[in-house]
Amino acid sequence: MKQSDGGGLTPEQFEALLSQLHPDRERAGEIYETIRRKLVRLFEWRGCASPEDLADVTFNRVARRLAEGVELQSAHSHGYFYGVAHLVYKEVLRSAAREHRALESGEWPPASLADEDEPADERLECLRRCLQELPADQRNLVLRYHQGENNIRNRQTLANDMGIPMNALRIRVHRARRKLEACVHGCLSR
Amino acid sequence: MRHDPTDDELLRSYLLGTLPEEEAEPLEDRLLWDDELFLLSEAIEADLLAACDRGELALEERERVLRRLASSPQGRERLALARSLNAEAQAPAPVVPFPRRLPSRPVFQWFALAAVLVSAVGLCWYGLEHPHGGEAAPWIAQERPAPANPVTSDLPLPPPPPPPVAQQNRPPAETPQPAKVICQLALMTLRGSESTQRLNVPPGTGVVEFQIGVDGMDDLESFHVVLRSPGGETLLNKRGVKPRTLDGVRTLVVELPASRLSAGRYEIETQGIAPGSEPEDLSPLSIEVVRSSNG
Repeated sequence: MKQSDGGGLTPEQFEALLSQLHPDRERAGEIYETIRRKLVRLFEWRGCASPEDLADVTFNRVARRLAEGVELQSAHSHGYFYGVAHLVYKEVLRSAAREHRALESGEWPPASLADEDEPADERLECLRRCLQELPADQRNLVLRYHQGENNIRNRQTLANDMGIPMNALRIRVHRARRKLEACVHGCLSR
Repeated sequence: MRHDPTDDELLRSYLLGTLPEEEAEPLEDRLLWDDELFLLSEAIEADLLAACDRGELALEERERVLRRLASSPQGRERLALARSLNAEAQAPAPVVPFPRRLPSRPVFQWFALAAVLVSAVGLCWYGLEHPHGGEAAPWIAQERPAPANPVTSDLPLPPPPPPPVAQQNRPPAETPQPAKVICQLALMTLRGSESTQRLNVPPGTGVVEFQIGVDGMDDLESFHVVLRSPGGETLLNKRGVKPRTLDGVRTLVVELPASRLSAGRYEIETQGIAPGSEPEDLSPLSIEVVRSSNG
């Protein structure tokens, strides 16, 4: 996308950004990564074709504002980032609609289930290996979560068995699934 | 962070692109600062992809999922993972029943390690008082012939306890120190196991140290441990207990003066706390304390 301020940050600007996120540089780095990851997903969920670029544009703009003297208030720093990200998104909609792959405009062709009726053998093999690397309880949880003809009832039963609400179950499974995702990605890259 | 029960519907609409803009904006703002809500959103996204793969969605929803959530390279990767997980979960390979956690607090029907810790073998034994902390195991544990292996859902047999200190080939301590009884337990649960761990507390015992294995609960960062007497009195109420690594096993370590433990049945209730989540009740543990004359 063509964003007027899509250029990189100077080291000074980047340091200033980190220092406003948290006094401890390591913690500031973690916060930076968390916000960036979330912005990427938000742009993705909004249907933007270049979510990572847009997250960087957002950070660049925030950093420039900080260099101009704006101060982040810790309680509202996320809101400030979101405000800037939303402006970036609006600009994308206005000036580069073809890069927006929302429902009607789709830059990428939609995925097709018919393309791949069976999981690729290699991917499945990686998944099996990665499942073995998970602690047994997490492995069983993930598999049970995906089991069953009547999946909704199956999950409700699972949540009841564990004595936790459905959304807590979803989050717990997702934490394990994220580990699997990273592991499978690494396995396929080898 | 406790979520409104309607959050999942809200997120589902958002992910499918059917949420009105005036509702989507505040939701996105929340997603940025609420880590738990963000995780839930990703979890629902994964559920939608998995449901799409299984053919459980209506045609319009299916089209929306494929176009909005599965058309980017990353989205295709996620769809592929969901497809693989669906396939693997339906595979005929047996899945070990998932260990269950407590359904509601006062129902003491599921007990953990006790199911497989035969009381005659037990994992409670004497040691001498010796400070330890952080990553270091207590010396009494270090002297075990095998690493501590609190029972998991796969039910490995517990290692045999080391012999009482008096039986070990070691010179006696120069200065008498209060004896410590170490009691190993684990929070993995087995439904229907009603047995109780026997804890023998001989005269002269100064401290009882409970080592509660919490392996496989990586998402729970800290714990709230409560020990109740046979009469229901709270003898120990410790919040923010962080697991230590003892012999490679995440373990909660709490101590209690032995003088507080008379003979009878005690309950240990534990809650686990994951960042940003409500405390989660874990299975209660039951201890039968025996005050013997000779240990």
